[in-house]
Amino acid sequence: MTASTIVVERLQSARGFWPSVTRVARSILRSKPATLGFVLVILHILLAVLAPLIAPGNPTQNNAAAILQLPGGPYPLGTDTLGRDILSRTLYGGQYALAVSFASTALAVLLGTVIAGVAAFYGGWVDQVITRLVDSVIAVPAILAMLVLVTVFGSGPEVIVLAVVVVYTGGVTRVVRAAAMDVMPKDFIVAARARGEGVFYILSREVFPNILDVVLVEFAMRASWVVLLVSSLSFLGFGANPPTPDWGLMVAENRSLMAVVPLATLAPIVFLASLIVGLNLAADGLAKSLGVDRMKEILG
Amino acid sequence: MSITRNDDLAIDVKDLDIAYMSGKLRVNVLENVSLQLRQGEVLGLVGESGSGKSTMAGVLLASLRTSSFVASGTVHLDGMDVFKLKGRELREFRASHVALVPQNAGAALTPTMRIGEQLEESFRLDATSSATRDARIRRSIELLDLVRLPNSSGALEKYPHQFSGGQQQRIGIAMALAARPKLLVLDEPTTGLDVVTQAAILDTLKRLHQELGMAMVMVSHDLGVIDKMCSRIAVFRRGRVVEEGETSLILREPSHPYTQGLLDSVPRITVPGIPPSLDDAAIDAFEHGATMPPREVSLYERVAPEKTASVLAIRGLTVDYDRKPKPGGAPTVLDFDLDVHAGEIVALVGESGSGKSTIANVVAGLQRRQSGELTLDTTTALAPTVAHRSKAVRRAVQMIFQNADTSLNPRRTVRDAITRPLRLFNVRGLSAEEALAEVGLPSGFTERLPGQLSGGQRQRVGIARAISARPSLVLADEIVSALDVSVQSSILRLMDRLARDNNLGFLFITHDLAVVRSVADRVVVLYLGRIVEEGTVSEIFGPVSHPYTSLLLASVIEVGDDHSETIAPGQDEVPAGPPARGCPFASRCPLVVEICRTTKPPVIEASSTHAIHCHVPVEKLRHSQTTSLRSATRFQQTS
Repeated sequence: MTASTIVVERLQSARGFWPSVTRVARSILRSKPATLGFVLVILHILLAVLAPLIAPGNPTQNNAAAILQLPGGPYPLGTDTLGRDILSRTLYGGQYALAVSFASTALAVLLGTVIAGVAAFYGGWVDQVITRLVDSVIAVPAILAMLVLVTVFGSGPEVIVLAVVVVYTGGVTRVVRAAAMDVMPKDFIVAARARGEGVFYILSREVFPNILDVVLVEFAMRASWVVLLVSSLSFLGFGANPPTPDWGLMVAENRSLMAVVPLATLAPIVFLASLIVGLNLAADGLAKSLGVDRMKEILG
Repeated sequence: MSITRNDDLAIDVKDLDIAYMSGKLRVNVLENVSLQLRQGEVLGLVGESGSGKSTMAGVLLASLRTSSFVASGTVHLDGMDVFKLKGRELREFRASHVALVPQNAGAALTPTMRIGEQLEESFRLDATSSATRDARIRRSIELLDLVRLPNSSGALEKYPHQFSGGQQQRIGIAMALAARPKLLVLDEPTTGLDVVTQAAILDTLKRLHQELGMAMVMVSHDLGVIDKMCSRIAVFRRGRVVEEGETSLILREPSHPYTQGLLDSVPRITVPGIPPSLDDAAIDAFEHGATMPPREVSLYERVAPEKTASVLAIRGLTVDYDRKPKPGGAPTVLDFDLDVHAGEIVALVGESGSGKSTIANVVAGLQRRQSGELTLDTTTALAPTVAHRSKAVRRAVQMIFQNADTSLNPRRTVRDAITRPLRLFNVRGLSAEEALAEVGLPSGFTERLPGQLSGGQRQRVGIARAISARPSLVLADEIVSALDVSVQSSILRLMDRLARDNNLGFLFITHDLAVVRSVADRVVVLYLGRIVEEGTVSEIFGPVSHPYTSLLLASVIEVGDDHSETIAPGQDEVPAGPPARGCPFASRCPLVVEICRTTKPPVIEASSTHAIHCHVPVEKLRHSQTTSLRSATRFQQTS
């Protein structure tokens, strides 16, 4: 019997912040798909950050003497119609995709979480108004809303970020609100209310630590959608402006010459696809490692 | 026991070990369990939470939790080695031989299916009863009649949420009986129910057992229930059976200190005083070869404080959840008066839905009231909501919750939980460690998270959080009902000590009359939001009381009763809401007269402190002999 008591204590002592981080990391490493996902995402981040060091050429410099080159020599993946190095453009393209996507996702998740917290805390008509607003935003197709916003405000990266925030905050709000609603009726919240604590204290100290896992998973899921959405916008000609190196834009520019320089289209597609698959697998793995099981374990 | 033929045994468990792997370590959930039960007998599985009794119940349904496995030993049910059965055979065995009545029938019934359909599912394999539509309906009604569900033919078309908790449990039992099982396993079948409902359900189960004669296994933490229902009993502690045998024998003369400790730590409605708590160290010593510890029967009797100042006075409180009054309806709480004095523990008693928690929430400022005056410390009027109350008032009223699991934030340490009120209310000269010491916890607990504490320890932290604000009034809402009896008495003693030492007034909300008897000074009995009786604890448990109080007292099931009383049919049916006129209890009252239905009952002053709200003259309110008889037998036992 003593043996089992010891085990129970050991299991329980593995809580707290750092132990739980290592526990989650270990559970991710145990799953092959999740590991692959994280490796892909980290690889993409490294490639984008280190692009200036590893890219063989300037991504935006035209070279009339070397247009539509096949792979070889100074151009490992060939060049496009303006003589720009495809490998360099693809590597730099990750910077735009990742920066815009992560910034907009982070903003959308942050804003959505705060709105969700307020809705769950006040309930009643505040919650009703927020939920109905969210419903109506979600009802508009994402790409359509973004096209309108970009058409009105121009297509700089800050507008894209804003557009993503407008489009995706609603979805985040809905998911996080559900999680927060689950925590609100718990007695420790009632205790805080009875002490006369304010909304800021209750949300930041009592509610958010308990829904952090939901928020993290929501971030990873949304990020993969946003990467695809931002690239779609560029492909349609509403996103990044030429000559910005961007995957969607590259596909749009080079698709008519697919038979001549196939890598000019394929390279950005492969990069985009691997990033999205990586983010999806990572989000999945994260959800499984943090997700429902952990909540059950702690809250019964 | 003289058992020769294996076929006579409904259950034959031999040297069973159930284990799961935690990393590379094997953890035994059940260890070396051997149990036997003859056909037609009733076995009770008793023990504290985590003792393995529910795992054992699962085993008897040939089911294990995922990741658990049979490490050694065999389980024969009705002569069959059930863990050797696979796939189809196992399904057929379960469908025809065993059935489960779960603890919470409300959660076990499918909410989107009509009762009729759900019942039909469970006898689908029975060819004769499921042959035609008529046959199915006939069998369904027959089953519902068997468990005494009122209006059984109308029930088939209804959904689970249209029934009360007790009725849902009856339907759950009917479903379990549908396939004519040879073994019925009941997992805490009455734990979430009110006393009167519990008594009625147990009566039904007892009758069903006599009529149908199947073997039954009943899991319960309540020794009284086990004593009433079971012919045999197995006491579980930490995955082992410490004692097994005939119920009457074991409960009268336990040979293991654990059984003895469990029995002694149960408070009784017949005896005032807080029982001793279980001495785990002594039991461990016994298991390692020490002699049986001497039986500790000393009850601690609380002395009510005299003539102390009032900390809370409620006058004419009315709460209504309906914003617009409905015709025929009435407010949830009507005309409620209450006083709590410093150092006094006042119990607010009633069934679920009686408005006990509503009143606590009004006092805490979490629920608005329609009318009524609340006065704190004789001078300060309490504002309706927390937002309008000053810091000093918020500090003076503190709450302790029923469920220690959800009353502490799982992400924050014990220190965080306790120091927050200290800082918020500027309490000086008290550290988290000192606050923990006050509730009997070591200072090393400050850095722990709630998940690292046991149920009793969490409840102590919850109490420390409330006490550390130095309040004058504490609202304690069912604070011991989720705890094991062994821990319960230590929390009750803590409550008593805090009331005395800190001169605290406790408003103690509970449905458990035995706990009230052991710790309360004064009692207010609430029925559908109206006071029916109030008085000192000895008056409430004395020979004269309101018919509703009498019903509650008669429904309590305790070890050592003769268990002959039965609840009259319909007595457990609580109306959905209070009536617009007359006495709220009129629909269930055995002494009801015409005036009860039309006129609000007058207050009978049985003594200066004892008030009964009833039309019936006081002479007629003397109990039938039973309770006084019971106390007599009980006294013989203790002395």
